[in-house]
Amino acid sequence: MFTPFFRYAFGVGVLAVLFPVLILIGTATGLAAARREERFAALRLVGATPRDVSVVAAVDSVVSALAGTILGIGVFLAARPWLAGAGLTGTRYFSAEVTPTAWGYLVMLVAVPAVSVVASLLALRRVRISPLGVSRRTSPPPPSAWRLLTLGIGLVLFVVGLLATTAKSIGAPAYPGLLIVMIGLVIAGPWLTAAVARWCARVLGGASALLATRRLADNPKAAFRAVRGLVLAVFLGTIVGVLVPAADSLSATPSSAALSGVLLDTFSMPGPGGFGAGLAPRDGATLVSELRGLGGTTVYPLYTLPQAANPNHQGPYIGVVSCSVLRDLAVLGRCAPGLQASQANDDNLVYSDNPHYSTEPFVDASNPAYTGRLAALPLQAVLVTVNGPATLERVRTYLAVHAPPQVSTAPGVDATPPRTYGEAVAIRSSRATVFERLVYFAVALTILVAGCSLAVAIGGGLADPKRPFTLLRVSGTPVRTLYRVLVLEAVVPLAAATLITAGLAYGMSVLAFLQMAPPGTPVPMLGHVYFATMGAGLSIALIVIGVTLPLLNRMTGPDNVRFE
Amino acid sequence: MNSPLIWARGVVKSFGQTPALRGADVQVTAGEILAVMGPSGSGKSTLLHCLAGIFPPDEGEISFDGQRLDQMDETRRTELRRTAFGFVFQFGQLVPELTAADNVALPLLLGRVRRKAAYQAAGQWLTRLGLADKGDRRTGELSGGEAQRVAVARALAVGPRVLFADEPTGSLDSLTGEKVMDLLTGLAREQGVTVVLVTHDARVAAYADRQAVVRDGRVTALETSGTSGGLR
Repeated sequence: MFTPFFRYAFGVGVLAVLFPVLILIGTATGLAAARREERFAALRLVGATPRDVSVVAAVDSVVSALAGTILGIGVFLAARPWLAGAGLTGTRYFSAEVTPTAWGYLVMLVAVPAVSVVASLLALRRVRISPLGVSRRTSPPPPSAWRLLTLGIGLVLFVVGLLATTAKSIGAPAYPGLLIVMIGLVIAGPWLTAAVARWCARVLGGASALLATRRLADNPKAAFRAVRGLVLAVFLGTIVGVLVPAADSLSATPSSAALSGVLLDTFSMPGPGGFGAGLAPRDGATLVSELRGLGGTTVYPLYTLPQAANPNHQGPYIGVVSCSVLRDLAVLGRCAPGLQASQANDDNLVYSDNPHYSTEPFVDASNPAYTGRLAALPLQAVLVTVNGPATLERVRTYLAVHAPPQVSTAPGVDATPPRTYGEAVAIRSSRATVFERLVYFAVALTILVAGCSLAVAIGGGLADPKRPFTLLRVSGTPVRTLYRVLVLEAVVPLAAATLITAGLAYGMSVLAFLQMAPPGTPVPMLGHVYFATMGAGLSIALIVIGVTLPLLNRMTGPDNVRFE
Repeated sequence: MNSPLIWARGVVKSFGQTPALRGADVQVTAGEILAVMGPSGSGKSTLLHCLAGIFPPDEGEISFDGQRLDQMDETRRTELRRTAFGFVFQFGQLVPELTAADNVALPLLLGRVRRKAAYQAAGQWLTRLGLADKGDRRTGELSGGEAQRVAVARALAVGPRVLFADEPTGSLDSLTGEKVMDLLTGLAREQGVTVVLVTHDARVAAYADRQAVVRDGRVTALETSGTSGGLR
């Protein structure tokens, strides 16, 4: 039902969203467990063991997580018709296609409570619950600048890879460099959060900024924990946002334009046994003749070099082409003077539908001649030009009926049907657009999830500053001042993580692009869709954060001073 | 006789079905130190909260400097608490992520005092309270007495007309408590600040000029203290 491309794209999207969702589950459950610590201390006082407390905490979290999962499934089922019609990939789906299987439901009903149990037990490890009450373990030391080391190593590796980058491929070290940079961002996140908080404290004035930035600098790990899930998504989303549109411009090579209307059908594919021979000479001649007989077509046959069918063939040349073909399709190159036919290395032209790889002629004057009879050679492929769309469809229909079935290049990969190079570029571009859209959706969702994580962290963390905040209210601090504190505590890590990650990803992808692009290619810019997606995600996240503000009003109201 | 700075007449306050004050009357003159005493649950803290404009009474009248607190809305009472009152509670309620200097400067910053001036004032107050070298310490690094002195500095730094203190030495040992009360009352008298403090400790109450005894939600006695300083 879904091609390998879509499965891959959805898989990337799921991974990008899964990480922050797991963090949200962990944050919410962990805070809920920590807020029950005084109740657990009372249990210890009457004789419960630490193991008993753990069991109570686990049951607590399972029940609430299960209820939440069931509620979430209900919301999903209600929203399913709208989701199916959303057209995220450019097409609509039937509702049955966007629903998990029975196993999928079962996994959710088991996995979410399981993650909650683990998170709650981990949260209880941060406090020491004794019969006499709760004591917090000492505050963690501030994050060290050594956390930047991994990020630095990744950047160095990436730059080394860039130095080895050519127009056709990115240098191998760049890939692990990219991965290490992503890991490095997560490791360096707390240090960066603390650094940004200290900078904000110097730049922003007022009591709200003082409170918010000092609280952030006091425990930057907790602040970053809620947003680290979005680092991966924003990083990938920004890279996709730069490179996918830019890749289209790299496809606009002279050969791609010249070949745009040329249809390719291939009858042999490379494999472990060497290149397949293709159509037998007589069958190949019949096919070429009948294609020409359709009218409005010009057919250019490409033949298989006899020795190329040998699995032990080592030479660079695998095909043979008539020099008259090259005279008509000059973009493909030219023969040495006086030749009738030339050997050709048509690997990129025939076995890749990306004309980008055909920037160099596949025959030039240095290619050796072929002196045998072309009619005796197997037919490897045909290039066909037509005089209009109707003729193109007649050619396609003929090939579908009379040409041998297409052979795929790898298991699980659909064979490529005959199509023009322009159609191949359009398909590639369309897939890239869909991929880009999916990644943007995942990024927006991830930012939203990060906002929810922050809201949960802030709301759940209100118990700690409840007393001092209550006194501030009692002393005449307007509640809107404390609202500003909470908003700043949420916005600073969220914005810092997003901006730093996006900036780094943009810089790295631009550098990679400039290494691969021909000189003079303009620097790719992020499009309005990217900014709209980021803006929408951040806006919704801020709204979610705003939902916690009434909780602050209630928890720190002057009424609470009665219980001090 | 000076007209009272604060007075309350027939104040009634309930929380749900539980009456905390059943018609309390009290007067506080400017510059005096009034101790509000009584057994647990007598309503003494509730009386302080009503006098400070934290809660509006259900019935009765409360006045501060001629302004009727019982007729003010929450916004106006909040502004009054910010500009005219200071608060010291039993556990200090300092913001743990801030340093001592930050905590003292915070109410000044909230009052839109410029940062430099706020921290200068904070430094001066910390010096007066014997904490000159503790300004950059976080509250977790201070002893109980030091933290409570920071709370006193914070309350006095804004130049309040009235200081409300609820069990200010409740979490301190007697020696430390004496030091805190010496400083609190000494600085209040020096600054001309009126003090209303709630305590169940007779030794703390002895610092006051007068003592109001609260029982069953009513002020049953108003006595002048024998001495105006604590037991030495």
